[in-house]
Amino acid sequence: MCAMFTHNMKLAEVVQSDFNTLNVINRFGVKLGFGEKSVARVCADYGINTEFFLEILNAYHDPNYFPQKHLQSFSVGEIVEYLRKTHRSYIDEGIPFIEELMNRMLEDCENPGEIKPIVKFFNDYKTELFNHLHWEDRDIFPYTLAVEEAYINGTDASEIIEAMQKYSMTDFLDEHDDIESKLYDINTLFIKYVPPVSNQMICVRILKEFSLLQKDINNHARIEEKVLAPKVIIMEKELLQKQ
Amino acid sequence: MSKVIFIVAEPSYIIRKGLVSLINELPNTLVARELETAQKLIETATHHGADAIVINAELLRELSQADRKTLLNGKKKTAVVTISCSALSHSDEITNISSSQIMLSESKPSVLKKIKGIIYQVDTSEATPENQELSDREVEILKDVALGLSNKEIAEKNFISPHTVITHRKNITRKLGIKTVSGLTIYAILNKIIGMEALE
Repeated sequence: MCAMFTHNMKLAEVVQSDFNTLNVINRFGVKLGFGEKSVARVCADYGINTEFFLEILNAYHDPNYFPQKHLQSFSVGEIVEYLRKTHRSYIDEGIPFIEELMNRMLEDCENPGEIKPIVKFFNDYKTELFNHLHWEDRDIFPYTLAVEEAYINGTDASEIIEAMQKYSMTDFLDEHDDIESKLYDINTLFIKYVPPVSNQMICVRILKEFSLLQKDINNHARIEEKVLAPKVIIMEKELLQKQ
Repeated sequence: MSKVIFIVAEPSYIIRKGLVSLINELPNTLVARELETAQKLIETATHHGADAIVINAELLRELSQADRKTLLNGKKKTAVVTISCSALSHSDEITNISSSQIMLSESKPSVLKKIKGIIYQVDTSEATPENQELSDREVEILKDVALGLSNKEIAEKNFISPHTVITHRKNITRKLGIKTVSGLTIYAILNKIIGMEALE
C-alpha cells in the first residue's frame, strides 16, 4: 500500500517518496528549493488550491487511488488548466527529449535501416499525439469551459447546444483510447525488436522515458475520461433540459 | 489462468491461519481446505484437485506408506510443502516427498518466495511457449492487416467469415502483445512478413 500524501507533509518528503511526482509539481509552477515547507504552505505561497494539488498528486502516485467523485468537485476551469499544462509538458519536454535520444541512437547504430521502422512508428505517433493535443486545446477545452459558464451563469446556451449536437463529450469519450494503445505498442516493439546497438545505455534511457510518458499519459487520459468528461456530460444534459 | 489450489494441514490454529493468509496474499491462489489432522488428507486433496499441500512435518509422518505413495505418484501431481520447527535431515524419509520446506523461524519474504516457487512449479495452465507463436494462418491474416486491409476484405480474400477474421486478430494481439494496426504493421516489417515499402 502506498501512503497518501497529506497537506501537512513536507513537500520535500513527497518528492523523496516518489521522485516522479516532480513532473506534476512542476506543472503547478512550483520550483525546487521548498526547504522544510509543508505541502499546504507551498500551495499558499504559490496560490494553488491545496486540495486539488493533493488529489492530483495522489492519483498520480498511486494508480489504485482515484477519487473520481472528489476530483469532479473541482471546477472545469481548474481541471482544464492542469490538463493544458500537461499537454505543454509533452509538447515542449517529454516528446522532444525522446526524439533527441532516438536521434542519438540512430547516429550510433551501424545499420540504421533496421531501426528505421520503429523510429518511423514513433514519429507518426508524435504527429498524431500533437494533433490530438492541439485539437483538445483548441476545440475541446474551450467547449467544456463554455458549457460550465452557461451552466453556472445561466446564460443563453443555444450556441453551445448547437455545438453539442455536432460533437458532444460522449463522442469525445468514444474516440479517446487509441493514443494510449499506440504508445504501449511502441514500447513493446522497442523492447523486443530494437537491434543490438553499441550504446545500450541510450536504449535504456529511451525505455525509461517511454515508461514515464506512458504512466503520465495514462494518468492524464484518466482525468480527461473519468473526471472532465463525466462532469461536462452532466452539465450538457441539464442545459438541454432547460431549453 | 486457473487458480493454484492449496490444502493447508496444520494443528496449530495460529500457524495455520498465518499460512493461509500468506498464501492468499499471492495472486491466483485458492486455499480450498484447512485441516487440523492428517485424517482424510488424501481424500480431501483428491476431492479438491489440490495442486499443493502445505503440511506440518509431524502430520506428514503420520501418513501410511500407501498414502505417501498416492501423494507422490497419484494421477495428479501434488506438490508437498512441509512445515517444521527445524530443518529436516536429508536422511529423513519425508524429505524425499517434500518439494519444499518451510521453517517456523523463517521471515515472511523467504516463506513467500518458497510458496511462489511451488506455484511456478505446478502452474502449467498458461500456454506453453510454442503456442505463443503465430500459426501460418495467423501470419497470413497479419500480413493483410499490416497492409491495411479491412476485416471484410480479409474475409473475402481468405474465404472465411468476418467473425473468424476478428477471432484471428484477437489471437494475434494476445500472442504478440501488440494492440494497434500501426504496431502490427511495424511488427510485420521487422519480421520481414511484409516489405519496408509498405511504410511509404
